[in-house]
Amino acid sequence: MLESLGINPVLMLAQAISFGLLYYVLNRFLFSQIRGALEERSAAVSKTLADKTEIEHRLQAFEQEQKAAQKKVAEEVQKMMLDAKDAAASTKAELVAKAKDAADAEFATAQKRIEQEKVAAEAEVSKHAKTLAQSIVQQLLSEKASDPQWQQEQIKASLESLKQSKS
Amino acid sequence: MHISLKPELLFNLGSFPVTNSILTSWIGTLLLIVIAIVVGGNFKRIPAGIQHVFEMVYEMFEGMATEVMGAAGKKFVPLLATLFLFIITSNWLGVLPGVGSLGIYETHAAAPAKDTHAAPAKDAQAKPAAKDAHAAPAAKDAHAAPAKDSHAKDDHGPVFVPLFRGANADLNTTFALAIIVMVIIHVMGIKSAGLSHHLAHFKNPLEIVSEFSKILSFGFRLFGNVFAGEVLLTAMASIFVIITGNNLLAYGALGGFIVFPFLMLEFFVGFIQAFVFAMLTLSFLSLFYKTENSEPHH
Repeated sequence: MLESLGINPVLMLAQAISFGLLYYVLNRFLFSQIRGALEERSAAVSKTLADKTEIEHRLQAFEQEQKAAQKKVAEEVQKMMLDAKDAAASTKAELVAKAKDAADAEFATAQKRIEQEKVAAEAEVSKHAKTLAQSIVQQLLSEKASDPQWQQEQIKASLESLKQSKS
Repeated sequence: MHISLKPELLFNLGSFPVTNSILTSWIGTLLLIVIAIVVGGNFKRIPAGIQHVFEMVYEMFEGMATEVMGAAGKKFVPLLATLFLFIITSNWLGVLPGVGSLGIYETHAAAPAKDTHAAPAKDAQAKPAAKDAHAAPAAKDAHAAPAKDSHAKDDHGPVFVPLFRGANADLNTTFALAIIVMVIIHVMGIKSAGLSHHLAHFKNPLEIVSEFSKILSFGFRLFGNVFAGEVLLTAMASIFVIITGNNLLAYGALGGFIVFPFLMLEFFVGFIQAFVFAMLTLSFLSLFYKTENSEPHH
């Protein structure tokens, strides 16, 4: 029966040997390399994935940090603006006050000077008036003194007043 | 139409009989070895070309082996992949034009005929070689061929011997593979579980019978599918020759339409059988191979 099916142990053995050879060659030259490449690739992929999560974590942390920093900066800016506003307001008030003071002082000095000038002018005027009066009086006196009638009258008047005062 | 269940003897190499199927299997093996060395020698980290195909096959079996047997399955991947590649290469080589149709005429005394002919129409005629001038007369009396053939041996007339025959259309190949696989399965079973534990599987004598039947089923399944495919192709081609007679124009025009679908079918069957053989090997392995965290199934 085996003969009619063409079964021949020698041929079978030959096929087994050639299959064994094929197995050896494929395993030695090809499958070992494929195995290595697949392992390397899966290691690389898992590393990439791990890196990816790591990067994502870092990115998230960085974003949060950035947000916090931005918030902080915004707060600081606002605070600075408020401070600046306050400072500006106080400076303004100060300046206004200073200006007012300065103006007041100026005004005061001006008034004082006016006063002084007024006094000085008055003194001058009175001085001038005195001299004028003196000169007028001198002139009048000199004019009257030369008049004997007026002199007598005057003497009389003076004597009269003397008499009166004695009495 | 002549269909032989056993491979034909081409010549003797010393005392070793070189048959047409072993010649084809050697060609397939050599082809794979050359490709393996070339691809392995130029192995690239980023795969290209045929390296993809081998990686795909390897990964496919690695995935299935780890699914069935866990991490322990990884060490059997080279065996599964080699089985698959050897069987699919042999099957596909067997479908190629020229296999079964290119041959020599021998007298019954097995002395090789002096002239090598292209295929006579009666053997897988859809092949280009059949257009050879020698083929035409053969095609002409194609219907008479079976009768003539059956007489051929008795008459000691020239017998057509195909130079190539699908390696798996030979029980020697399929049984060699089946025995190798069953030996490996049991050796690995003993190695993993210990001899006494392994023998415990066979308390029931029927289990021993079942193991031998596995060899038979392995061997005959592959042989039957591939051989039937060759018979089918030969039959379709013969029907086609009977239809067209000696009209060469019709022969050329219709040849593809009639035989082509069956050629495609055989490519598909060739793939399926290679896959089935490797998968059965894996599942039988998992029956006896004891992994650290699992008792072998019963």
